[in-house]
Amino acid sequence: MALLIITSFTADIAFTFLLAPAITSQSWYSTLNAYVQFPSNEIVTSLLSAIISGVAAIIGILLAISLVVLELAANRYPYRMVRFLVEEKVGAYVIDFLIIALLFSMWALFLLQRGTIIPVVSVFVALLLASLSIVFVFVYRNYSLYFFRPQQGFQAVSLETKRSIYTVFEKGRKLGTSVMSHLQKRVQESIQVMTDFMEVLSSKNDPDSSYGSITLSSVLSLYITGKRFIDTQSGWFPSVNVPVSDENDMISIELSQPFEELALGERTVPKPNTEWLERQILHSLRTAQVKAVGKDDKLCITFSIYGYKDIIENCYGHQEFHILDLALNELRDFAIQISTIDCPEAMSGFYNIMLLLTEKSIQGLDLPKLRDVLGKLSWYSDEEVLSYRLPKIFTEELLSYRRRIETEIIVEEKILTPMQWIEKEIMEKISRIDQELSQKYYSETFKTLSKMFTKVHSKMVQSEIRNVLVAELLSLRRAIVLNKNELALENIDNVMKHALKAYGDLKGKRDLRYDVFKELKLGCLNSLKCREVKSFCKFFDTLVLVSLEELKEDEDRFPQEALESLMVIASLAFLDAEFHQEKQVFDTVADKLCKYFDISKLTKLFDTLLTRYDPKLTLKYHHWFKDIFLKMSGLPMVAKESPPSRIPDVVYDHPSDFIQRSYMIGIQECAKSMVERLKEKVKPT
Amino acid sequence: MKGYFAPDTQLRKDKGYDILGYMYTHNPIVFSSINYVTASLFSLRRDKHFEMVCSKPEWRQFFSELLIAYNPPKGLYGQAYDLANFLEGVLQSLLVFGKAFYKIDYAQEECSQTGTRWTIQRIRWLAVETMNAISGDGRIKGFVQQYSDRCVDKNLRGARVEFAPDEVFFVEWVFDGDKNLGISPLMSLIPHHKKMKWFLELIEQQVYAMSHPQDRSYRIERARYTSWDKAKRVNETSQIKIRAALGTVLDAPMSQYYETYQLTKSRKRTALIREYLVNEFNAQAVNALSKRNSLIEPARIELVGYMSASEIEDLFRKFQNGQASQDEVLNTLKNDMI
Repeated sequence: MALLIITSFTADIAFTFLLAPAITSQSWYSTLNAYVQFPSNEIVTSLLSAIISGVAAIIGILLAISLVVLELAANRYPYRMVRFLVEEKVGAYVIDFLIIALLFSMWALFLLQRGTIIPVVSVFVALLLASLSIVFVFVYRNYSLYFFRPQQGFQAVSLETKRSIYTVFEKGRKLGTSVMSHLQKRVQESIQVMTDFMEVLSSKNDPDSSYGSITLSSVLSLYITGKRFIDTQSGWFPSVNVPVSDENDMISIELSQPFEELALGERTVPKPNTEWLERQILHSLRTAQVKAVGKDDKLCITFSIYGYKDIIENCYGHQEFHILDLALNELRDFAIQISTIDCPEAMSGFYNIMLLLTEKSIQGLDLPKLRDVLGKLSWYSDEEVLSYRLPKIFTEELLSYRRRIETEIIVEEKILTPMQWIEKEIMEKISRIDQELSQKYYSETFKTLSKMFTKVHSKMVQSEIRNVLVAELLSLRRAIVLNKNELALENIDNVMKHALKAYGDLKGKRDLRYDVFKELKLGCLNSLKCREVKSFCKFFDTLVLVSLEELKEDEDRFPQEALESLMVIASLAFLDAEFHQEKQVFDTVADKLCKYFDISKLTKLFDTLLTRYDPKLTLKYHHWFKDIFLKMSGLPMVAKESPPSRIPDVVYDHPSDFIQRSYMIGIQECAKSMVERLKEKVKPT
Repeated sequence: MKGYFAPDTQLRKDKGYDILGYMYTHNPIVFSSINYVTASLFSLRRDKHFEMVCSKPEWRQFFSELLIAYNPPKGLYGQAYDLANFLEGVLQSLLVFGKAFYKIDYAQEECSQTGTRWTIQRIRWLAVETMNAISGDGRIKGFVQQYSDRCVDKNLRGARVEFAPDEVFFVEWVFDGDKNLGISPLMSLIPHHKKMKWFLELIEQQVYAMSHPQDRSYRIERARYTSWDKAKRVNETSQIKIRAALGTVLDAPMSQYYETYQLTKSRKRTALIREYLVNEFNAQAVNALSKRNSLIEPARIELVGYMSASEIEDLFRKFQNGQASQDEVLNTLKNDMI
């Protein structure tokens, strides 16, 4: 305010003594003066008086309305929310602006009445401020009206929270302990405001309480992105007293002695509580979820599940695995709880999260990025390591390695370890961690799905049985496709047990069964294409058993599809075995078929399927055969004598007779040869 | 008996040896590092460290029984029980003071095989601060022991003893370049010792500050608001510097490469010190005794079973070239001391 007064007063003087004489001396000014009459002092005085009265009246009205609104809000909202409303910033800025406009107009009026010069600039500024005040009042009206909608309320609080968290992320290292501690308290308060607000809305059965889950989740998601860069001693993490353990140095022993001698209990030391925010948010979410389940609030249940998606994705991306474990525990308990109530959208969201976790665990950590950073690091400061903003494990490992490098810098005053040794050592360690994490979270997904399966199977929720099985089978297939067959093999037995156990329970639900059957079929094809024999055997074994069910002559079965699938898989196994000259795959197929079917009947059924050319078969399955066909077409051609005619024949240069003469063949030719080979296998010798 | 072992406190202070002695006795890192280095000079698990080389069997037997036997003549090496233990003591003196002086007491004895012969009766420690070597024409011409007038022992005040070159076994610290010849490695570590001392005082003050919250004196307030992490870092850095300078194997976090390099460096230095001490003992004691006994070819003590510095260097090169793994190198170097 004072700055504005000084500036405009200086501008008034400058205008009167410098600019005004220059303007009045211009010829255009006298012309302008002839046509335009500038307002007199009386008019300007009246105008300023009107502005002062108007602005004062607006301030009075606003204050009165605010008090009424706060009174109403105090009855409706919890006290923390009311406090937030009192401290609400937009309203405070508008009131401040109005007060400045009022005071400045009074100052301009004073200058006009008592000053020796006409305060042209000050009057102009007062007019401008008054005009803007009116505009802002209208803007504020809309804002405040929206603000009382719960969604807007949650948004406003979460914006404040996120602003504080951003401040901690961006300026945390420069801020003092007291500032950080203040920011921590503000964020903690905001989370409590949102929790209270959610509770109030939930108790009134207001569906808008679901926005609370979303905003809380978004705060946690944001926090995950930068938590690792906050110094544990900065004041952001409040201290908690924990009992001293595993301290055997002389000082600790001496400090503990009085506690023991004087029976003062256990000695404790203050340690930063590094999990306060995530625990608080997850606790709030859990409370909201329990209420939502109790009141069967499906919107809130669905939104809660959606909220976890970002949390889990960010946890994996930023390698905050501790928070991930906490969130996964909450999600698992919640999902199992809601699995038996009819909430397909929420359950679909849950399975998507499980598949996301599978995907992340299979793909593992971003090792190329780390390698890239390792090539650029000079290792001379922690700040340099932190400047790359790497995920948590990478950052911690690099900082820990810098401690090691620092030893040689201290002793030798230079880095002796060659860069390629540093890279090798770090990459080896991180690869080991990556492998462990992949294994842990991939198995974690299956454990969760397994628990879910047990629950939905015991309650016979058929749609969920289908969903769990499809999610499990899809997770296995994804691992196989991404060359992580070892991960799939660790869990495949359990999944196949589930599939066999539950397939019969889906009786009467053709579509649900078909989805599971399709996943099994695709599992066979995926493992065949990736040449993962062990996985293929497990998938094929289960597929044969469920096919037996489908080949029964009931109304809701799909025998044609089952037969076609078996034939296509057997044909691809045959082609693979012939091309790669590894008989194991096809032998497995033949053994299984012989074990569970009457093979002469089965081959006849296959023959019937192959009597006429079916273009749909090619359209549906060509992409599975395509790779081997392309490789075959790349083989060189050689001349070969055919035994009966002794006329040289041009064939592919390959040891297999079938491949040699497979020029321009398709799926049906493979299938025919496969059927012939099956017949030969069971022919008595 | 010429020469005294009694210390001259005043002279020690004048020559700056008092702080070095204080560092050894009061700084736990200096104390443990020097003890570690001296103890790692010869492996306790080995029966034999030396062998005597001499073309004449009777003289070889004489020198062996006298100097390198498991049980040498009583009191030959003073407090030390054999040559290895004696050289460890010499190294300790080198590390603390940068120099070591021992008086060699020769004596004649009758022998049935060789007739009258010279032998060493005793090798005695001489107070370092009182000793000076007299050099000329690039070689040592003799030694002088000179006590100050303010020596605590009144009988020794102003005492002066002169020694012939072969009467004193003298070695000095030669492993930090010509510039630091005869200067203790502890000398360059004084600033780090002071930092460690400051840290200990800070701990005391911080503990006091914790239990006396009402004390707002400047000294206590300063301790209260000194960053513990930074102070700890200063202390750790000083500890690393001291350990490294004294050639100890570091226990700080290190990269695999540097861990191997550091152990190699430490072992190589130990091997060089061992070779240096044995060579000097040969040159000053064994040679002198051979000369006194008019042996044309002087007897010589040789080290047995220890890796030489060049062998250790070769091993590290293999590691650098990927021909040997870290475990192989570490095991070989550790086994060298078993």
